[in-house]
Amino acid sequence: MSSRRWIITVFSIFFISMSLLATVNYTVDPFGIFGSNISQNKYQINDRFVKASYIEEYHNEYNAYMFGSSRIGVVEPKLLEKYIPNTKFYNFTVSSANLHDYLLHLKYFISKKYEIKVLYLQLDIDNMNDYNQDSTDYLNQLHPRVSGDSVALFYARYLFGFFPLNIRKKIEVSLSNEIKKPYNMKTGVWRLPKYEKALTEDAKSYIENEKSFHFKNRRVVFYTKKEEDKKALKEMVELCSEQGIKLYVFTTPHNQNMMDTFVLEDYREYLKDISEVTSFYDFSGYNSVTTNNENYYEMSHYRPHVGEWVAARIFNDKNIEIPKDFGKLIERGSLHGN
Amino acid sequence: MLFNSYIFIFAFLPFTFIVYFYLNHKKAHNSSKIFLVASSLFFYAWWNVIYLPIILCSILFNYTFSNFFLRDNSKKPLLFLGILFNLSLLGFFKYYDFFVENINFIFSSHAELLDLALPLAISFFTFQQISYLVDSYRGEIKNQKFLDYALFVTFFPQLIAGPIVHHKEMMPQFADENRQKRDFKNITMGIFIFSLGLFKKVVIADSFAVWATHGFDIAEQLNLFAAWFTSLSYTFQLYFDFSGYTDMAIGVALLFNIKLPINFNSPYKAKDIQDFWRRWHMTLSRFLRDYIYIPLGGNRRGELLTYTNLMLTFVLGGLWHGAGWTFLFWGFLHGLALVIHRLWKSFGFRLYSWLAWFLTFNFINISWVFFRAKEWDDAIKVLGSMFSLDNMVLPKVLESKLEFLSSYGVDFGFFYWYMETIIWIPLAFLLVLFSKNSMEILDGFTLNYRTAIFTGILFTAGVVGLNRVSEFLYFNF
Repeated sequence: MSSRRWIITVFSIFFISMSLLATVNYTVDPFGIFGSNISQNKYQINDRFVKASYIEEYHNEYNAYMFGSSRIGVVEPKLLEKYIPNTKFYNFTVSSANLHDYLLHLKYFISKKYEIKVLYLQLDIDNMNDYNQDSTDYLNQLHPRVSGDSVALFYARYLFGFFPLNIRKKIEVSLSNEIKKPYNMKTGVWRLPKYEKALTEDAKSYIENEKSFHFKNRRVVFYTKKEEDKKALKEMVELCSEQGIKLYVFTTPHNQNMMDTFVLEDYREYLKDISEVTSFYDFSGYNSVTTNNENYYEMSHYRPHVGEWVAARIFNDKNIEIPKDFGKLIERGSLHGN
Repeated sequence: MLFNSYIFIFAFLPFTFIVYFYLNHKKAHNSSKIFLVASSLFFYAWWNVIYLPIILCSILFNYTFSNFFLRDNSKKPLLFLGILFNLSLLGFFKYYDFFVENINFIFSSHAELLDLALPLAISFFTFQQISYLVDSYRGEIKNQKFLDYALFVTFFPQLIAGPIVHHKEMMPQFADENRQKRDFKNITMGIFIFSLGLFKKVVIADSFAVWATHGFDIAEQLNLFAAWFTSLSYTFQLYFDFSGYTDMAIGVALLFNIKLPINFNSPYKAKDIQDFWRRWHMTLSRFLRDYIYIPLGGNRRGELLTYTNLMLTFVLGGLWHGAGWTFLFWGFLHGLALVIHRLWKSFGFRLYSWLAWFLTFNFINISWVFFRAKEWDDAIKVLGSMFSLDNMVLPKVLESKLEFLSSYGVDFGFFYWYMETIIWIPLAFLLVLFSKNSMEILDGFTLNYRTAIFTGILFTAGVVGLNRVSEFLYFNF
């Protein structure tokens, strides 16, 4: 075999393989990057990218934002609009979000001069050991204009990446009639109608069958991102103050089983650090809401009515009955010592 | 610029290759070399252009000094001055803060740290130039053109992380005009070995990197199994990362008809620590031997001094890798192991082959923990978990099959991040112990459809894996 033929063979294999890969990735679009119409509403998307793109186009329709991980994703914007007149909220929930996401999105929105009157910020306690996203996590990559990365490189990564499991799963989901987790792009809210129905009909049975409620968790979540988290939160508070944005901060009401994973001393340190930067409402800990599994789909995500209780507590809504031990205002600088 | 990036593979490399051989085709040999030096400096400055003056000053200084020796090689003070300049440059950027931190600790002082960014590749180009300077003083170098010297230092395939090339093996190649013609045989071998290296780095090393990084990040939470999977993940990450990089460097150099020295020869097959150092980062071992161990006296001045020289050489070798006590201790451990091995041999003791391998591999694996840990405490925590029977947790999914282990104190947990390592680590063992290494494969390389398809698959898999761009570990040194 001649050297030239050998080289041509190698690069032919390469170009044919890459062309096939790009065609499949573009057509199936397992992360919702290319706007393919295949089952857009049925399967997981890179919500950071999709939502940032959506807001880029429709930012004039909103003037207030809810930032948080997927856990805030069940809260309807109209709930907050009821409490704060002349606001139009967008639920900018993104999967596995942490303070890195919130800070970058806030900075980006400000740099693009999007109107922001209010920022409703939910902090997960497990943020304390997480900052930034893994570069191999395609579901959670920031929009390149938010992260400042190359736009061409961003698309190239999704076009030429190898995602056999995501592609298979998306094709499977497309062929089924079920929509497990419908996403409303106009509000940013997601739902779990099947789970909600099962919980409403027979909560006891649902809870018995939901494995995550019954694991014995070890305490494993340490406060390893202290510096990054505190710095990011401080920067956000300062940015909001400079820009005249009213900021509401509160902690996620984590399910008791999730609470079991937090190292107590570190958890207290995290709350103390938040209080050194800003006042906030604390819904975490073991209270009558977090110890009742009926308030959760599984150990990670609370149901919509919990989000209503959170808002009612923050906005002091006497018309809604809230468990007394649920939520407390922590004034800035009030958490000293232990 | 990283070898494992789109910009390098699809823009920089093809452009440099085409222009270099076009200029040579037009008989503009000097221009082609100038172009190659300029391209190499561009490649270097891609990370941070502020590093550029440092390498340029270093090249100019060393070339000028070496020329003094060409005229009169009896000027020993000048040699010391030259070496002092190189070591001062390295010391200032790499060791100043480490030194001040320790002074502050000992004397409770508060001297300010400089927090300087370490200029890329400074450890590599400093060593290369010290060897050139020393050999100039020894009169082993004839008149060399500045252009060839600049190319010897900056040649981009080896500039960032080696192999640590010696002027004797490089400069004659740069001076040889026959090598300035396109050679399809070298191009095919270059593409082959580059693809193999890309695959090793991107597909294998970067997979292990995820588990090793996570494990070391949560060092205090590791259980017995997680700690072993973490240390083994790093052991394999380091090998596939660095040997993958070297393969890519050798492949790229071959495209330009330049042969770089071999740097790895199946190091994890070693059956004793001396054998390991003959197989691992061979060009560094060669430098340490020729420019530290032998000048110290080597093994010529009695057993006690031989042991002292070995220890000193490896402690300095450890320090070369990084300014930190963990690196220093890693070097000390290897020096100690070499001393013990030498004593063992002198007593005429023998071990079963498999036991010798087992002990050697585990020593290397354990010592890498110090090499990898950011802090002393992290190393102790990982090692503590590796040898603690108090905390044995296996993934819950294995409970039904391995339930009998519960009676031996093994617990089963909800979810563990190291699940995939259970498959990857045995595969890595198979690769490093039973397959041919890159250079052995290259030796048997022939042009046929089988090697073409194999190369095409490796290259494609490597390019697809570029999505998770990560730096090479040895860039840090």
